[in-house]
Amino acid sequence: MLNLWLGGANPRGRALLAGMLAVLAAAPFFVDSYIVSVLILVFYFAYLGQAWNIMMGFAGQLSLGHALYFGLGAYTGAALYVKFGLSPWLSMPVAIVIAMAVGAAIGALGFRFRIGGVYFALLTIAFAEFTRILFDHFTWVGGSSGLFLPVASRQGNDLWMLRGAPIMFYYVWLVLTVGLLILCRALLASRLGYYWLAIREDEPAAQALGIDTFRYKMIAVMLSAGLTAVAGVLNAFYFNVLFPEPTFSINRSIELILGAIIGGVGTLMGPIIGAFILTPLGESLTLIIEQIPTGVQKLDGLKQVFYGLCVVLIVLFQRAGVWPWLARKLRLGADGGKGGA
Amino acid sequence: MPFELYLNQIVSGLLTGLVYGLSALGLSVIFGVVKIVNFAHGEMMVIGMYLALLLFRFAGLDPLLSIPIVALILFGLGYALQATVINRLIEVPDYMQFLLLAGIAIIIVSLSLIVFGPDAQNVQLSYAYDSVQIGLLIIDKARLLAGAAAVGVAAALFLFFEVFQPRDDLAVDSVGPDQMRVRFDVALGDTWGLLDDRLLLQPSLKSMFSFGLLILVLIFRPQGLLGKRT
Repeated sequence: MLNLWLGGANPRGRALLAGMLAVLAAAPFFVDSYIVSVLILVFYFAYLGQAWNIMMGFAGQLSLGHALYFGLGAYTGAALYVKFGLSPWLSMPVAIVIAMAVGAAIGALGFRFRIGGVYFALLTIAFAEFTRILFDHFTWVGGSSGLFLPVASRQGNDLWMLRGAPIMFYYVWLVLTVGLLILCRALLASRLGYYWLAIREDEPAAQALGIDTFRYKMIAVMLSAGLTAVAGVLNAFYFNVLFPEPTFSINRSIELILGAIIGGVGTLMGPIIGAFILTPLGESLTLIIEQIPTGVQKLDGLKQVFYGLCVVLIVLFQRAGVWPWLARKLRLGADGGKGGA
Repeated sequence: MPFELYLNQIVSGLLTGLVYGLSALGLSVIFGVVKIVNFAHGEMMVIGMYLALLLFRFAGLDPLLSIPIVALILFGLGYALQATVINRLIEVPDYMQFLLLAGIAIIIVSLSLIVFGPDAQNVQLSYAYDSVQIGLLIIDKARLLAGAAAVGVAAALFLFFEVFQPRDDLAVDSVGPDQMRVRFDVALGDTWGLLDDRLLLQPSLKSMFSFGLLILVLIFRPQGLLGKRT
């Protein structure tokens, strides 16, 4: 398994990756709780960027409505816990199935009716916004007044129910993020991965070669949706509160793809590197602002301005993302994300 | 009674639709000319609204009268955006253009949040609660004026395209004037948004219906309800 994962990187790259992983695994023992919460945010961006990357980066289908799958996962996990006391690990499969079914419906409509490019992206936004308003009126899960998970003041960490300290969430996120990286590495090296890249680069040509493009695009959408829902469940248990507006809004959809865009769409390490660039910078910005006594409240939106600026600068000056450039600088060899292309 | 109620609702909806229609026309002109979906269109409209608000607060200018000023300022903004950013996007893949404009949209919204705060602002016009009665119909004066202004600007746009028949080879060069037009509807949108903030209070289920409709149109008539199949 380890061999498969590291197949594309040269010894330098392997050493760096192993070092990074070791540092991350040990980090909670050495840093304070604030850094742990920032690193959780890093994993959030890295994991979700990676999940989105399967659809956009690998198969070339732009979704700007991934908040939909995220939100469905979050609400499924939270509702099953609040109403029936179900463990998030048991509700995760349910959330995955729901998100995959919705993803399949959107994908089937979009691909069968040949809605391409910008119009497909609009379709994904429309579904996410539709669902956002639906949940505003879905009173069983709290409607617009929100759904709250009871925060039990238990001793220690309950991994089964995901009730506990941020450090527990830190390790769950870490395992999931690394697991997804391994999965994506395996996917790209598989026949499926090569089909996706063929579809991304030239769909008519892929079709002419006998690839069932509809089928493989559907697989990409459903996989991406299911994986996104997992992060939704985890996020709901971490924050303990859900509102339809921030959960399903277009801002969420944009936010969760930022890491992938900044790191490099279509690369394996891109979303992770992007998350590591984006989050600490955004957070230190917030810290700096808090130092300015008068501006605390008024400059609330500055982190968003920074995120927006990052996207603009990347598109204008470093379109392939930071990772390909960084990999060249550090002489890490091919990323493997381009699938040998 | 109910019949009157429905009739009034329909007329007021149509007047709102005129302003939205004008805004959509602006989006459509940009897409038609430079093939770029202006994802920040609504946000630019918001700039127009805040400009009108400022002009009202500090110069006492009625939003209807500030249209030319706001339009001119946003023309400049649109031109600058075109010259610095959009022109570099011609060769970029579609999704990158989309993301870039989404990034610009985030910047605009967050900046306006910083500058103006999260609370709703409005223009206290002397005629804000006046209405005009035509037979059974009772129409908001502000709504009526906004609708009329929208029709006026749309008419001016069509006239513009009649006089300056766009030629294919001029497509990119003619961006300036088109941007100008778009800014007109921006100014118009502002008038609307400020004249009737009651719109915000209406049940959100209405917009769910709108998104449902959008989904259906995207699936069954991607060329639009009135467009020709290519």
